[in-house]
Amino acid sequence: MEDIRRVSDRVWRMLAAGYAGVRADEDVAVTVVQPDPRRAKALRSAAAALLGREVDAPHTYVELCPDPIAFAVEAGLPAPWALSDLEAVESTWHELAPVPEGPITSISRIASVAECVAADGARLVRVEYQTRFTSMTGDTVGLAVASGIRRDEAVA
Amino acid sequence: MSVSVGLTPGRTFEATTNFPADDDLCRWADGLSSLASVQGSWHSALLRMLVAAWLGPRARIERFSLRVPGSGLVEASLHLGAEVSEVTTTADGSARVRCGLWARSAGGQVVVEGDCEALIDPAGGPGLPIARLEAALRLGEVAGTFTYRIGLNDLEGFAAAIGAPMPSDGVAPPTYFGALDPVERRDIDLDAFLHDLPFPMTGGGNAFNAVEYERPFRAGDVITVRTRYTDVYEKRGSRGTLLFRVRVNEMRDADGALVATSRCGHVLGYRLPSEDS
Repeated sequence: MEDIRRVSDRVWRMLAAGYAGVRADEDVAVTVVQPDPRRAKALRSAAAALLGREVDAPHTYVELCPDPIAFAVEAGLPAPWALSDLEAVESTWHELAPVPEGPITSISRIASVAECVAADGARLVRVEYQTRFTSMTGDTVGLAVASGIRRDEAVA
Repeated sequence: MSVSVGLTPGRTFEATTNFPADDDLCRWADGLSSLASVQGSWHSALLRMLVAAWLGPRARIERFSLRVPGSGLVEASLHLGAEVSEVTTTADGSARVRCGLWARSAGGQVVVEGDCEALIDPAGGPGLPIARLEAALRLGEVAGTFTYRIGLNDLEGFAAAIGAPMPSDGVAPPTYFGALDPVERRDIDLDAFLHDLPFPMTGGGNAFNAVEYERPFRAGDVITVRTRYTDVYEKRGSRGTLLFRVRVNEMRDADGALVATSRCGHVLGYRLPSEDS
Protein backbone atom coordinates (compact mmCIF):
# COMPACT_ATOMS: atom_id res chain seq x y z
CA MET A 1 0.00 0.00 0.00
CA GLU A 2 1.24 3.44 -0.88
CA ASP A 3 2.66 5.53 1.90
CA ILE A 4 0.80 8.82 1.62
CA ARG A 5 2.80 10.74 4.14
CA ARG A 6 4.57 12.53 1.31
CA VAL A 7 2.03 12.35 -1.46
CA SER A 8 0.80 15.27 -3.48
CA ASP A 9 -2.16 17.45 -2.59
CA ARG A 10 -4.04 15.86 -5.46
CA VAL A 11 -3.72 12.38 -4.01
CA TRP A 12 -4.47 13.66 -0.52
CA ARG A 13 -7.65 15.32 -1.69
CA MET A 14 -8.67 12.15 -3.48
CA LEU A 15 -8.21 10.12 -0.33
CA ALA A 16 -10.01 12.64 1.79
CA ALA A 17 -12.93 12.96 -0.55
CA GLY A 18 -13.33 9.43 -1.74
CA TYR A 19 -11.17 7.35 0.57
CA ALA A 20 -9.25 5.75 -2.26
CA GLY A 21 -12.27 5.50 -4.46
CA VAL A 22 -14.66 4.01 -1.96
CA ARG A 23 -17.91 5.90 -1.72
CA ALA A 24 -19.28 6.17 1.73
CA ASP A 25 -22.48 4.22 2.26
CA GLU A 26 -22.28 2.40 -1.05
CA ASP A 27 -19.56 -0.20 -0.74
CA VAL A 28 -20.12 -2.91 1.82
CA ALA A 29 -18.36 -6.05 2.98
CA VAL A 30 -20.36 -8.96 4.26
CA THR A 31 -19.08 -11.79 6.42
CA VAL A 32 -20.51 -14.44 8.70
CA VAL A 33 -19.13 -14.61 12.22
CA GLN A 34 -19.63 -16.48 15.45
CA PRO A 35 -18.15 -16.03 18.92
CA ASP A 36 -14.86 -17.87 19.21
CA PRO A 37 -15.13 -20.31 22.16
CA ARG A 38 -11.40 -20.21 22.84
CA ARG A 39 -11.29 -16.44 23.04
CA ALA A 40 -14.53 -16.35 25.00
CA LYS A 41 -13.07 -18.74 27.54
CA ALA A 42 -9.88 -16.69 27.84
CA LEU A 43 -11.86 -13.53 28.44
CA ARG A 44 -14.05 -15.07 31.12
CA SER A 45 -11.07 -16.64 32.79
CA ALA A 46 -9.32 -13.27 33.02
CA ALA A 47 -12.48 -11.54 34.23
CA ALA A 48 -13.00 -14.24 36.85
CA ALA A 49 -9.44 -13.79 38.09
CA LEU A 50 -9.99 -10.05 38.40
CA LEU A 51 -13.35 -10.35 40.09
CA GLY A 52 -12.45 -13.34 42.19
CA ARG A 53 -15.56 -15.16 41.14
CA GLU A 54 -16.91 -17.22 38.30
CA VAL A 55 -18.07 -15.27 35.26
CA ASP A 56 -20.74 -16.92 33.14
CA ALA A 57 -21.64 -13.84 31.14
CA PRO A 58 -23.24 -14.20 27.71
CA HIS A 59 -21.31 -13.24 24.59
CA THR A 60 -21.07 -9.55 23.77
CA TYR A 61 -20.61 -7.59 20.57
CA VAL A 62 -17.39 -6.16 21.98
CA GLU A 63 -16.15 -9.72 22.25
CA LEU A 64 -17.33 -10.52 18.74
CA CYS A 65 -15.85 -7.38 17.21
CA PRO A 66 -13.37 -5.90 19.68
CA ASP A 67 -11.61 -3.68 17.13
CA PRO A 68 -14.34 -2.47 14.75
CA ILE A 69 -11.98 -0.80 12.28
CA ALA A 70 -9.78 -3.88 12.01
CA PHE A 71 -12.91 -6.00 11.73
CA ALA A 72 -14.29 -3.94 8.84
CA VAL A 73 -10.96 -3.85 7.02
CA GLU A 74 -10.50 -7.57 7.45
CA ALA A 75 -14.02 -8.02 6.08
CA GLY A 76 -12.87 -6.35 2.88
CA LEU A 77 -13.17 -2.60 3.25
CA PRO A 78 -10.18 -0.49 2.23
CA ALA A 79 -7.70 1.15 4.55
CA PRO A 80 -5.13 3.14 2.62
CA TRP A 81 -3.12 3.72 5.77
CA ALA A 82 -1.70 1.45 8.37
CA LEU A 83 -4.34 1.24 11.08
CA SER A 84 -1.69 2.11 13.63
CA ASP A 85 -1.40 5.52 11.95
CA LEU A 86 -4.96 6.38 12.94
CA GLU A 87 -5.24 8.64 15.95
CA ALA A 88 -8.03 9.25 18.40
CA VAL A 89 -9.81 6.02 17.59
CA GLU A 90 -13.26 5.91 19.14
CA SER A 91 -15.41 2.80 19.12
CA THR A 92 -19.03 2.40 20.12
CA TRP A 93 -21.03 -0.78 20.33
CA HIS A 94 -24.82 -0.57 20.31
CA GLU A 95 -26.35 -3.71 21.74
CA LEU A 96 -29.87 -3.86 20.36
CA ALA A 97 -30.45 -7.47 21.38
CA PRO A 98 -28.38 -10.22 22.98
CA VAL A 99 -25.79 -11.87 20.73
CA PRO A 100 -27.87 -14.56 19.00
CA GLU A 101 -27.08 -18.22 18.82
CA GLY A 102 -25.71 -19.47 15.54
CA PRO A 103 -24.14 -17.65 12.62
CA ILE A 104 -24.31 -13.87 12.67
CA THR A 105 -24.08 -11.84 9.50
CA SER A 106 -21.94 -8.74 9.63
CA ILE A 107 -22.37 -5.96 7.10
CA SER A 108 -19.53 -3.45 7.19
CA ARG A 109 -19.40 -0.15 5.38
CA ILE A 110 -17.59 3.13 5.47
CA ALA A 111 -20.18 5.43 6.94
CA SER A 112 -18.38 8.69 6.34
CA VAL A 113 -15.15 10.28 5.28
CA ALA A 114 -14.54 13.89 6.20
CA GLU A 115 -11.58 16.18 5.85
CA CYS A 116 -10.79 19.17 8.00
CA VAL A 117 -7.83 21.31 8.95
CA ALA A 118 -6.53 21.36 12.50
CA ALA A 119 -5.78 24.59 14.34
CA ASP A 120 -2.10 24.05 13.66
CA GLY A 121 -2.77 23.76 9.95
CA ALA A 122 -2.40 20.01 9.71
CA ARG A 123 -4.77 18.20 7.43
CA LEU A 124 -7.03 15.70 9.13
CA VAL A 125 -9.19 12.99 7.66
CA ARG A 126 -11.79 11.34 9.81
CA VAL A 127 -13.05 7.98 8.66
CA GLU A 128 -15.97 6.18 10.22
CA TYR A 129 -16.50 2.47 9.75
CA GLN A 130 -19.75 0.84 10.72
CA THR A 131 -20.59 -2.82 11.06
CA ARG A 132 -24.15 -4.00 11.49
CA PHE A 133 -24.86 -7.45 12.89
CA THR A 134 -27.95 -9.36 11.91
CA SER A 135 -29.39 -12.61 13.18
CA MET A 136 -30.36 -15.55 10.99
CA THR A 137 -33.85 -14.06 10.79
CA GLY A 138 -32.45 -10.83 9.37
CA ASP A 139 -33.04 -8.70 12.45
CA THR A 140 -30.41 -6.13 13.28
CA VAL A 141 -29.12 -7.12 16.70
CA GLY A 142 -26.03 -4.98 17.15
CA LEU A 143 -23.93 -2.23 15.70
CA ALA A 144 -20.25 -1.45 16.00
CA VAL A 145 -19.14 2.00 14.94
CA ALA A 146 -15.57 3.24 15.00
CA SER A 147 -13.84 6.31 13.75
CA GLY A 148 -10.22 7.21 13.43
CA ILE A 149 -8.40 10.37 12.46
CA ARG A 150 -5.42 10.43 10.13
CA ARG A 151 -3.26 13.46 10.66
CA ASP A 152 -0.88 14.41 7.93
CA GLU A 153 1.70 16.95 9.01
CA ALA A 154 3.81 16.44 5.89
CA VAL A 155 1.35 18.01 3.49
CA ALA A 156 0.05 20.70 5.82
CA MET B 1 -31.91 8.49 42.76
CA SER B 2 -31.06 4.98 43.83
CA VAL B 3 -32.25 1.85 42.10
CA SER B 4 -33.01 -1.50 43.58
CA VAL B 5 -29.61 -2.92 42.71
CA GLY B 6 -27.95 -0.25 44.80
CA LEU B 7 -26.39 1.87 42.07
CA THR B 8 -26.01 5.54 42.86
CA PRO B 9 -23.95 8.28 41.19
CA GLY B 10 -20.40 8.21 42.42
CA ARG B 11 -20.35 4.46 42.96
CA THR B 12 -17.00 3.24 41.69
CA PHE B 13 -15.82 -0.19 40.63
CA GLU B 14 -12.18 -1.05 40.02
CA ALA B 15 -9.95 -3.99 39.20
CA THR B 16 -6.27 -4.25 38.53
CA THR B 17 -4.96 -6.55 35.86
CA ASN B 18 -1.48 -7.81 35.29
CA PHE B 19 -0.53 -7.60 31.67
CA PRO B 20 0.66 -9.07 29.40
CA ALA B 21 2.20 -12.07 31.16
CA ASP B 22 -1.00 -13.99 30.90
CA ASP B 23 -2.00 -17.22 29.17
CA ASP B 24 -5.49 -15.83 28.71
CA LEU B 25 -4.10 -13.05 26.57
CA CYS B 26 -2.30 -15.54 24.35
CA ARG B 27 -5.53 -17.46 23.85
CA TRP B 28 -7.30 -14.18 23.12
CA ALA B 29 -4.73 -13.20 20.49
CA ASP B 30 -4.94 -16.60 18.81
CA GLY B 31 -7.45 -16.24 16.01
CA LEU B 32 -7.84 -12.51 16.39
CA SER B 33 -7.63 -10.45 13.23
CA SER B 34 -3.99 -9.72 12.48
CA LEU B 35 -5.01 -6.11 11.92
CA ALA B 36 -6.50 -5.69 15.36
CA SER B 37 -4.65 -4.30 18.31
CA VAL B 38 -4.31 -7.25 20.67
CA GLN B 39 -3.95 -5.06 23.71
CA GLY B 40 -6.65 -2.59 22.76
CA SER B 41 -9.16 -5.26 21.84
CA TRP B 42 -8.41 -7.15 25.03
CA HIS B 43 -8.95 -4.08 27.18
CA SER B 44 -12.21 -3.31 25.41
CA ALA B 45 -13.67 -6.78 25.71
CA LEU B 46 -12.45 -7.27 29.26
CA LEU B 47 -13.80 -3.93 30.42
CA ARG B 48 -17.16 -4.69 28.81
CA MET B 49 -17.30 -7.99 30.70
CA LEU B 50 -16.31 -6.39 33.98
CA VAL B 51 -18.92 -3.67 33.63
CA ALA B 52 -21.63 -6.26 33.14
CA ALA B 53 -20.50 -8.05 36.28
CA TRP B 54 -20.25 -4.81 38.25
CA LEU B 55 -23.70 -3.59 37.26
CA GLY B 56 -25.28 -6.93 38.05
CA PRO B 57 -27.55 -9.37 36.29
CA ARG B 58 -30.47 -6.96 36.04
CA ALA B 59 -28.55 -4.51 33.90
CA ARG B 60 -28.63 -4.69 30.11
CA ILE B 61 -25.87 -2.66 28.51
CA GLU B 62 -27.24 -0.82 25.51
CA ARG B 63 -24.28 1.30 24.49
CA PHE B 64 -20.60 0.92 25.22
CA SER B 65 -18.11 3.51 23.94
CA LEU B 66 -14.35 3.63 24.28
CA ARG B 67 -11.73 6.07 23.10
CA VAL B 68 -8.03 5.40 22.82
CA PRO B 69 -6.40 8.77 23.46
CA GLY B 70 -2.87 7.77 22.64
CA SER B 71 -0.84 5.04 21.11
CA GLY B 72 -1.12 1.58 22.58
CA LEU B 73 0.99 1.07 25.66
CA VAL B 74 2.44 -2.13 26.95
CA GLU B 75 1.97 -1.89 30.67
CA ALA B 76 2.84 -4.27 33.45
CA SER B 77 -0.48 -3.60 35.11
CA LEU B 78 -3.60 -1.61 34.42
CA HIS B 79 -6.37 -0.28 36.58
CA LEU B 80 -9.74 -0.90 34.94
CA GLY B 81 -12.69 0.93 36.36
CA ALA B 82 -16.16 2.34 36.06
CA GLU B 83 -18.01 5.06 37.93
CA VAL B 84 -21.75 5.53 37.92
CA SER B 85 -22.28 9.11 36.74
CA GLU B 86 -26.05 9.28 36.33
CA VAL B 87 -29.13 7.26 37.22
CA THR B 88 -32.45 8.32 35.73
CA THR B 89 -35.88 6.82 35.54
CA THR B 90 -37.39 6.13 32.15
CA ALA B 91 -41.05 6.49 31.26
CA ASP B 92 -41.75 2.83 31.95
CA GLY B 93 -40.09 2.93 35.34
CA SER B 94 -36.81 1.39 34.32
CA ALA B 95 -33.58 2.84 35.61
CA ARG B 96 -31.11 4.11 33.04
CA VAL B 97 -27.57 4.05 34.36
CA ARG B 98 -24.68 5.90 32.79
CA CYS B 99 -21.09 5.10 33.73
CA GLY B 100 -17.71 6.55 32.94
CA LEU B 101 -15.10 3.93 32.04
CA TRP B 102 -11.33 3.89 32.08
CA ALA B 103 -8.15 1.88 31.91
CA ARG B 104 -5.15 3.60 33.45
CA SER B 105 -1.54 2.64 33.77
CA ALA B 106 0.07 2.29 37.17
CA GLY B 107 1.40 5.81 36.64
CA GLY B 108 -2.08 7.19 36.05
CA GLN B 109 -1.84 7.56 32.28
CA VAL B 110 -5.16 7.00 30.54
CA VAL B 111 -4.92 4.09 28.13
CA VAL B 112 -8.63 3.78 27.38
CA GLU B 113 -11.55 5.93 28.44
CA GLY B 114 -15.21 6.00 27.58
CA ASP B 115 -18.71 5.60 28.87
CA CYS B 116 -21.67 3.27 28.69
CA GLU B 117 -25.40 3.22 29.23
CA ALA B 118 -27.34 0.39 30.73
CA LEU B 119 -30.97 -0.23 31.48
CA ILE B 120 -31.99 -1.90 34.70
CA ASP B 121 -34.66 -4.46 33.92
CA PRO B 122 -37.89 -3.42 35.65
CA ALA B 123 -39.35 -6.88 35.11
CA GLY B 124 -36.73 -8.17 37.48
CA GLY B 125 -38.68 -6.63 40.31
CA PRO B 126 -37.06 -5.40 43.49
CA GLY B 127 -33.70 -7.03 43.92
CA LEU B 128 -31.54 -7.65 46.91
CA PRO B 129 -30.57 -4.40 48.65
CA ILE B 130 -26.91 -4.66 47.75
CA ALA B 131 -26.00 -1.15 48.90
CA ARG B 132 -27.50 -1.73 52.33
CA LEU B 133 -25.77 -5.09 52.58
CA GLU B 134 -22.47 -3.48 51.68
CA ALA B 135 -22.93 -0.94 54.44
CA ALA B 136 -23.88 -3.61 56.97
CA LEU B 137 -20.77 -5.61 56.12
CA ARG B 138 -18.58 -2.46 56.14
CA LEU B 139 -17.36 -3.41 52.70
CA GLY B 140 -13.67 -2.64 52.21
CA GLU B 141 -13.08 -1.76 55.85
CA VAL B 142 -11.55 -3.96 58.52
CA ALA B 143 -14.56 -5.69 60.03
CA GLY B 144 -12.65 -7.15 62.95
CA THR B 145 -9.24 -8.16 64.30
CA PHE B 146 -8.80 -11.34 66.31
CA THR B 147 -5.81 -13.12 67.81
CA TYR B 148 -5.54 -16.90 68.13
CA ARG B 149 -2.88 -19.01 69.80
CA ILE B 150 -2.30 -22.32 68.05
CA GLY B 151 -1.60 -25.14 70.46
CA LEU B 152 -0.43 -28.63 69.59
CA ASN B 153 -3.68 -29.97 70.99
CA ASP B 154 -5.58 -27.72 68.55
CA LEU B 155 -3.67 -29.22 65.65
CA GLU B 156 -4.15 -32.76 66.92
CA GLY B 157 -7.86 -32.23 67.32
CA PHE B 158 -8.09 -30.75 63.84
CA ALA B 159 -6.07 -33.56 62.30
CA ALA B 160 -8.26 -36.15 63.97
CA ALA B 161 -11.39 -34.41 62.72
CA ILE B 162 -10.26 -34.43 59.10
CA GLY B 163 -8.54 -37.81 59.21
CA ALA B 164 -5.06 -36.41 58.64
CA PRO B 165 -1.88 -37.77 60.23
CA MET B 166 -1.13 -36.37 63.66
CA PRO B 167 1.23 -33.39 63.36
CA SER B 168 4.07 -34.74 65.47
CA ASP B 169 6.36 -32.07 64.06
CA GLY B 170 3.99 -29.35 65.16
CA VAL B 171 3.25 -28.27 61.58
CA ALA B 172 -0.42 -27.67 60.88
CA PRO B 173 -2.16 -29.41 57.98
CA PRO B 174 -2.68 -27.02 55.03
CA THR B 175 -6.43 -26.93 55.58
CA TYR B 176 -5.90 -25.48 59.03
CA PHE B 177 -5.73 -22.04 57.41
CA GLY B 178 -9.50 -22.34 57.13
CA ALA B 179 -9.81 -22.93 60.86
CA LEU B 180 -8.73 -19.39 61.68
CA ASP B 181 -11.65 -17.72 59.96
CA PRO B 182 -13.36 -15.43 62.51
CA VAL B 183 -16.65 -15.71 60.65
CA GLU B 184 -16.71 -19.50 60.72
CA ARG B 185 -15.59 -19.41 64.35
CA ARG B 186 -18.54 -17.12 65.10
CA ASP B 187 -16.22 -14.47 66.51
CA ILE B 188 -17.73 -11.92 64.19
CA ASP B 189 -21.28 -11.76 62.91
CA LEU B 190 -22.35 -8.99 60.62
CA ASP B 191 -25.17 -11.02 59.14
CA ALA B 192 -28.00 -9.92 61.37
CA PHE B 193 -29.22 -7.70 58.59
CA LEU B 194 -29.92 -10.75 56.46
CA HIS B 195 -32.66 -11.89 58.81
CA ASP B 196 -34.62 -8.76 57.96
CA LEU B 197 -34.69 -9.41 54.22
CA PRO B 198 -38.30 -9.92 53.21
CA PHE B 199 -37.57 -12.85 50.91
CA PRO B 200 -37.74 -16.60 51.60
CA MET B 201 -34.30 -18.18 51.78
CA THR B 202 -33.87 -21.19 49.53
CA GLY B 203 -30.47 -22.41 50.70
CA GLY B 204 -26.89 -21.45 51.12
CA GLY B 205 -23.44 -22.55 52.05
CA ASN B 206 -19.80 -22.22 51.33
CA ALA B 207 -19.09 -21.01 47.80
CA PHE B 208 -15.30 -21.09 47.64
CA ASN B 209 -12.14 -20.86 49.71
CA ALA B 210 -8.65 -19.96 48.57
CA VAL B 211 -5.49 -19.35 50.51
CA GLU B 212 -2.07 -17.97 49.66
CA TYR B 213 0.51 -18.68 52.32
CA GLU B 214 4.09 -17.81 53.08
CA ARG B 215 4.65 -20.66 55.51
CA PRO B 216 2.53 -23.22 57.35
CA PHE B 217 1.12 -22.59 60.80
CA ARG B 218 3.03 -24.23 63.61
CA ALA B 219 2.11 -25.11 67.17
CA GLY B 220 2.98 -22.14 69.33
CA ASP B 221 2.14 -19.54 66.69
CA VAL B 222 0.14 -16.54 67.84
CA ILE B 223 -1.76 -15.42 64.79
CA THR B 224 -3.64 -12.15 64.39
CA VAL B 225 -6.39 -12.23 61.78
CA ARG B 226 -7.84 -9.12 60.18
CA THR B 227 -11.09 -9.69 58.34
CA ARG B 228 -12.45 -7.50 55.54
CA TYR B 229 -15.47 -8.03 53.34
CA THR B 230 -14.37 -7.23 49.80
CA ASP B 231 -17.34 -7.98 47.57
CA VAL B 232 -21.09 -8.39 47.73
CA TYR B 233 -22.98 -9.28 44.59
CA GLU B 234 -26.00 -11.13 43.33
CA LYS B 235 -26.42 -13.63 40.53
CA ARG B 236 -29.39 -15.31 39.01
CA GLY B 237 -29.38 -19.02 39.72
CA SER B 238 -31.65 -21.88 38.72
CA ARG B 239 -33.12 -21.82 42.23
CA GLY B 240 -33.56 -18.11 42.68
CA THR B 241 -31.35 -15.14 43.29
CA LEU B 242 -28.00 -15.87 44.85
CA LEU B 243 -26.29 -13.48 47.24
CA PHE B 244 -22.52 -13.82 47.43
CA ARG B 245 -20.41 -12.29 50.19
CA VAL B 246 -16.66 -12.44 49.88
CA ARG B 247 -14.26 -11.83 52.74
CA VAL B 248 -10.49 -11.75 53.03
CA ASN B 249 -8.58 -12.80 56.15
CA GLU B 250 -5.06 -11.49 56.54
CA MET B 251 -3.10 -13.66 58.99
CA ARG B 252 0.10 -12.36 60.62
CA ASP B 253 2.35 -13.87 63.24
CA ALA B 254 3.50 -12.29 66.50
CA ASP B 255 6.28 -10.46 64.65
CA GLY B 256 3.78 -8.94 62.25
CA ALA B 257 5.00 -11.04 59.33
CA LEU B 258 2.34 -12.12 56.88
CA VAL B 259 1.75 -15.86 57.15
CA ALA B 260 -1.26 -16.29 54.90
CA THR B 261 -4.17 -14.56 53.19
CA SER B 262 -7.39 -16.45 52.70
CA ARG B 263 -10.34 -15.52 50.56
CA CYS B 264 -13.71 -17.03 51.34
CA GLY B 265 -17.03 -16.78 49.60
CA HIS B 266 -20.40 -17.62 51.06
CA VAL B 267 -23.62 -17.87 49.12
CA LEU B 268 -27.26 -17.59 50.15
CA GLY B 269 -30.23 -18.22 47.88
CA TYR B 270 -33.44 -16.19 47.96
CA ARG B 271 -36.69 -16.43 46.11
CA LEU B 272 -37.68 -12.94 45.11
CA PRO B 273 -41.30 -11.98 44.36
CA SER B 274 -40.52 -11.63 40.66
CA GLU B 275 -39.36 -15.27 40.64
CA ASP B 276 -42.60 -16.66 42.02
CA SER B 277 -44.51 -18.48 39.33
